[in-house]
Amino acid sequence: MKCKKFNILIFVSIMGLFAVTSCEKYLDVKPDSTISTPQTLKDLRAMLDNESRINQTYPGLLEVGTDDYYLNFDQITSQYQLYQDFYFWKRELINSGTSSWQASFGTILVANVVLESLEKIASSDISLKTELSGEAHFVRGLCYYYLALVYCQTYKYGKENNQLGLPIRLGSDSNVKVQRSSLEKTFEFIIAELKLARELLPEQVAVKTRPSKAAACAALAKVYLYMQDYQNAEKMALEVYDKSNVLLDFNKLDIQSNRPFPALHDEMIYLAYSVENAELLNEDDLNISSELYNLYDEVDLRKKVYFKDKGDGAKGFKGNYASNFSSYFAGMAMDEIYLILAECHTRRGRRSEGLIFLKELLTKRYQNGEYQLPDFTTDTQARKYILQERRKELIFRGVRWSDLKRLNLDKEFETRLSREVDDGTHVQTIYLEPNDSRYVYPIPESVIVLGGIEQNTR
Amino acid sequence: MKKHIFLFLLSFWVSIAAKAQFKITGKILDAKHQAIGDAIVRAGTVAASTDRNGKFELVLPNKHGHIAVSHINYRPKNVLYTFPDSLIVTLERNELALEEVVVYSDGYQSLPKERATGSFEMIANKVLNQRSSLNIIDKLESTVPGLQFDRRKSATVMNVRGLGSFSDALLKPLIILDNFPYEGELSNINPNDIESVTVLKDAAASSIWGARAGNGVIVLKSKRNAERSKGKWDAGVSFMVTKKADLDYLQLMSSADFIAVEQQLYEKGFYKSALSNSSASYLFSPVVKLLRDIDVGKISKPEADRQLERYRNINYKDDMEHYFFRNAVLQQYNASYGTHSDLLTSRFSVGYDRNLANAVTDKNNRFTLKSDLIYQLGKNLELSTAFQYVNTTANQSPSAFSFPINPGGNRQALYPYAQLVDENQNAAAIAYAYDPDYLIGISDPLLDWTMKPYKDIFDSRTDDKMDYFNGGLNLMYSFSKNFKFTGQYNIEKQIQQQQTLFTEDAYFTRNLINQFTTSTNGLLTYGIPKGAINTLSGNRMLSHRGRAQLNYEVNNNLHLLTVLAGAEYSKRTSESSSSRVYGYDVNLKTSQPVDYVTLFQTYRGLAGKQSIPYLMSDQMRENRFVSFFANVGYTFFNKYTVSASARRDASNLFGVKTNDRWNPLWSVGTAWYLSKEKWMQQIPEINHLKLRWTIGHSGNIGGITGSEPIITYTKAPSGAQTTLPRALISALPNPSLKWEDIRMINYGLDFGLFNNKISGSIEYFNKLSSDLLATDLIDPTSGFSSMTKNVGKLLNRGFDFKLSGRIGHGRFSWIPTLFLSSSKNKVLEFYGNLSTGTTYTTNAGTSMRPLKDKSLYPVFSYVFAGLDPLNGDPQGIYKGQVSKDYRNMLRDSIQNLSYHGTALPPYYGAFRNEFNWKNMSVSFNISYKFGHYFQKETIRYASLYNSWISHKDYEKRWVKPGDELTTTVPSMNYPADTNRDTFYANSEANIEKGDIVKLQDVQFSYAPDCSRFLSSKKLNVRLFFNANNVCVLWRATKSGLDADFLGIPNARNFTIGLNVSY
Repeated sequence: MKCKKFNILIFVSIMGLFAVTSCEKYLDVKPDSTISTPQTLKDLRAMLDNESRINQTYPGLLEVGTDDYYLNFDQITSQYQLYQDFYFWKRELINSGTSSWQASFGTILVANVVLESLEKIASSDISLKTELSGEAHFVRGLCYYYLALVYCQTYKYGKENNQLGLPIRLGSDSNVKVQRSSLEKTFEFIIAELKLARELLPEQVAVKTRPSKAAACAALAKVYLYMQDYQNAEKMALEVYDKSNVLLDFNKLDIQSNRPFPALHDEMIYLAYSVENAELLNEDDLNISSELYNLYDEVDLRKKVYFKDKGDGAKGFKGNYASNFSSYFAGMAMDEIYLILAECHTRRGRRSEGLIFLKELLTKRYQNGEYQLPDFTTDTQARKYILQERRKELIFRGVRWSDLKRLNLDKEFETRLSREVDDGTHVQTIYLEPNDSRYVYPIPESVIVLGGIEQNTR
Repeated sequence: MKKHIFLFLLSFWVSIAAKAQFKITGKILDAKHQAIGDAIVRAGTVAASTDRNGKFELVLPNKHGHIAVSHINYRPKNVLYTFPDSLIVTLERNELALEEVVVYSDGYQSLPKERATGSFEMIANKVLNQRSSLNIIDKLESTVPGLQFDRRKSATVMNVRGLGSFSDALLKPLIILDNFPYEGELSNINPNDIESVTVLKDAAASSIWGARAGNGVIVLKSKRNAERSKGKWDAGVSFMVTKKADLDYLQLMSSADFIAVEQQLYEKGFYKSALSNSSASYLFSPVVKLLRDIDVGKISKPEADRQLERYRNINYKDDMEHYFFRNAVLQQYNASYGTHSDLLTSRFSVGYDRNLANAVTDKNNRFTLKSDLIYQLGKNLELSTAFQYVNTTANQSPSAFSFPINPGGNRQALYPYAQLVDENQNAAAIAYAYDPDYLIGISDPLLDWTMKPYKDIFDSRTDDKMDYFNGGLNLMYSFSKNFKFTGQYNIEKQIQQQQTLFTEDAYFTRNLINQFTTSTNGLLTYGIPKGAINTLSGNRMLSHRGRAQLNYEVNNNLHLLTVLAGAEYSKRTSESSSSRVYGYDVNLKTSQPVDYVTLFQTYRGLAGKQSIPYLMSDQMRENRFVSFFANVGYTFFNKYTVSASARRDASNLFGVKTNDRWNPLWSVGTAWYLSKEKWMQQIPEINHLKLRWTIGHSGNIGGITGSEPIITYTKAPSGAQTTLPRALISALPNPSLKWEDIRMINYGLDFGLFNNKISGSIEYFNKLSSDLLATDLIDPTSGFSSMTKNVGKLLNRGFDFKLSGRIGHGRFSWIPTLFLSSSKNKVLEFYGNLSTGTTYTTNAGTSMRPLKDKSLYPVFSYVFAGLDPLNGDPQGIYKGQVSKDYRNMLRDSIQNLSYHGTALPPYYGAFRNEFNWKNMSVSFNISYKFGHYFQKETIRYASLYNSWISHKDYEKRWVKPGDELTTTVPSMNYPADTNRDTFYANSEANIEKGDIVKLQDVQFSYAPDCSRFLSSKKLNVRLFFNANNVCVLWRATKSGLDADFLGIPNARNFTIGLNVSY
């Protein structure tokens, strides 16, 4: 009897020991086939190919405040209060909505995880590693650029730029707190990232959702232009122009279509767009400001490609450049490069050269053989014309707001924006003065509270 | 001495004759020679009842004669007497016996009620039979103290003693079938195969199940064969009719009112700009088009009026009730055969269910087979096998319409005066997704783009097939009298296949083909080939479990020690896949390839740019567990019991460091059998009294985390520009994440009084859930705005009270059972998102909104200050003043909201009554829920104008000054103001008390005595009729709503059935 009990005890202990040692391995199996940790370059490739996280996260807020569109009373009053506040440039917002901030920093997180993982992953595929690293730096730089347009004051070329910039996060650890850098430091970082990307990225890419060397140059041209560094903007734009200079001929587009632009068309260099249905960009609602609409000639094909008749004389927008719904195109394209070249050449005293670029572009925008370049007597005249063409071409391209901010620095080109509130009984007009502090959006309240960073004054 | 006096007091003398008297004494015993008290002993007009020692005395006029002995729990018996006999009569228990020896089963051991320290609740077969249903779980509602059914979600959530987690996914109780967790579909279990259900409510009862027992455990015990030695047949058949849903319950506006609103809006120019703007995907109702046609002179006024009058008198609700729904009919057939001998105990059963569901297109069948065999292979060795096979098929329509129909095209509910079936019984078209006038204007020869709901529900179908197999092997070897080894193995396999076929005629198919059609100068090219669209999806689940367990038991008169210890493993793999083919030919089973890569320009850009929906997927999940467990129970002097259990679980939770995988959980408990104390036995009124106390921990598994970010691969959404493999970061690193912990303390008192005529229990519990997984806000600059952390703490406190009686006389008995449970929860710690008022007042109480010091389903509303007597605007309070500043009131902070309480009933229970007389039995169950609040729907003018969502409260709206005294519904305003609508809808005016009393079920059953006309005495026949969800007896609200349901409440059903056993 005793012996029997002892035997059982031994049996149990052996079984137990066996179980403990073998079950650690038994439990190492991953519970879901679709999840993983970033372990291979393939994982990183997949993270950077996730369009909705990489190419579709640009702040919707950037187009909300412009004068390109308006909403009538019923449309705006049925919107969320926050959107109404944005639309009417309210000084105090009901709350500051985190989506624009968070979407971009979500992309920055992916870039940071990719860059951290690249250091850990041993792989002999150096070219893929270089390409992935270049892409990560590229999206990080581009995200910071768009964030700076929304949340920072205008960069002034040749000035101190000590104002508040953005918190520069270089790692994925959520416990690390980062304070806001200065505006100068922020733009230094953006330029550095994009320059690094320009070095690392390949000349050719398989799809336009991945950035190429040309995309990095185009992004640099955009950023330099905003920084009023026209020399560098021109240099970068020329580098793009030398790589490719294809323009779409609007005569060949399906003008009647609700989506006239083909997907990933030839003129596009890099595809990026804002979060869909972000804020107020709902196309069924928005009406194009008649002041803008009237700028187009009848023979200008853009008038038909971009706009649709909503009845009652109102015009709607249908010419989404990325052929998406309710978002703006935030990527790089050849038409913008032509416009940058035209503007920079003119600003730098080579007007006739600049106008050649402009003519080349507009010839493809007008009905065949209809475009005539006007004669200009002064540089300013030419510049005004070029800037107006810039506005007409780059509608809902994430450009208007940054142009307003940049051009307001120049007395001659500053613009006062206005919105009308017509509730059927009386009309009230609201203005946004040039260089108003409301050109800078407040940082979401939760970022201020949880991140402990300084809020913008508005 | 005292005893004798009591005996005298209890003795019941009926008649004492004046003439010759013979005193007959005797004793009534059961099969185990235990005395039976309260038995009625009758001879002619003289009767007496037995005392607690089973003794009786009768003084009778005759020397010889018959004595009839009866007792509610025993079969009646006639005996002969001859003076001066001292009779000893043995009674057999009858089948309706109430107080059988209750043995709890927790899946590891069987535990007699006397030795239990924990909180168990067993539902016997008889109670399960009182309600008919396809599903065993449905039989538990309102029959178990402490088990609450929350039917406000799309899937019913059961909770055992309140909530233990902040996330819906972690609220499920663990379901055990016999010895192992059940992973298959609950609807696979044939309720006729279940003997009893035991609910394990406290830590001592459930912590043996460790990390998965945090929400309580429900143990289903299969029927084993009865004690009889020869074969026994059992067969049953029943028919259940479930009434169709009452669509009027939704309280939508009448057609006449809807048209009146549209006419007013038309006059005010509401549709003017939209009508002139020819947007394809913007629907107008026929009335608005008619009004426009009058204006443009397309139709004459009298003709239009005639049409309007026709519209006023129709409502598509009638068409839906008439053509889309029917009374459901469920037929259930089952048969079983069992034997019992020294060598083999067996039971085989077969069942077949056929259900024609409420929707005319839906039906389902279930076939079940089950066998349980126990072989006695020797004196010490017992082998048992269990086998179960289930096959189910279900057919339904994937394009079924719920009421109200959502027509798309920027609307959310169809205008009420639609006609779904025309005068000739043909399906009629409705405005759907695209403006009908726009569709007519398309010159390209596209496929018909109109929607005819009554045709469409038949043009596509979903067929589900499932095979389920469950096999178990159980080996029990007794080393000695004390030692026993049990080895168990269980395998479950479930294969589900679903085919969804949209025929070429289905709207879904036509719409998709049209969208991907390109017209170049009138020449059409098809992105999706013509033909049907066939989607297959499959699910395969395979689970293995094994357990090795040692039991040790010493039993002498003073000490009873039971020890069990063991280990188990489980592995559950589930794979799912789906695929779709286009251009499918139903007869040839052929399909055609499509281009998934290109981003197509949809027809006229109506749906933007899209790629053809790609539905190929494959996924696999695997959960593995390893656990060690032990349980000790020690009873001494038959009076004192202590118990303890411990368990450690480990799983392959992704990313968790090995060291953190193990989660130890334990419980201890004591019980004191007071009524066995000498001094208690002096009080004869108290037959049974037991005090219990337990404490312990159990857990909840959830959350996937690691020291590195976790990425998840996803599929490209339709409309994506590329189809490259893509992954997103789904979680930030969080290596400190743990399993949720639930600490439960239970105090219990069991009692039996007056010969156990009254028995019951009172229990109090205190359940503290900590380390609850909840979202904690983090700086959005990190890329995430929140992160799952163990930050929540929730306290549940309450009681379960149960009182049963057995009141009987002769062949009549009344067995009432009353129970009342309370469970109140309060969030102790929560660091997650605190939002402004709107979040808490919108759909108040329907979802968990953890908020410190509040219940988990808090009901908040805006303070309502009546209607403005001048214009019927709703008014609230802002900054202490009566206000109409809706915009600011909506964003007011939580402190300024009105807090009503919880939406989950804090008090609930039932009063079950059973009456037996001779062969008949009637039972009914009244259930009640108290102390909760709900928000009722109301009219929202902006939704009415823009989305056509209507509500009958429109009829009660403020129209003229003075109305504010009798109504709270605001006036109809133009233009509508969403803020005003939201304020009113979410204000105090729409919060109602949920208290409700329902007649849950009624049963009548009759078991005729077949021995009268059949020679065989073994034949038992039982006929029954029952009704379920009978009616609401009382409710606190005047709105006629049932707060237990968010939509239409479960419909009443009636069952008639017959059971035969031989």
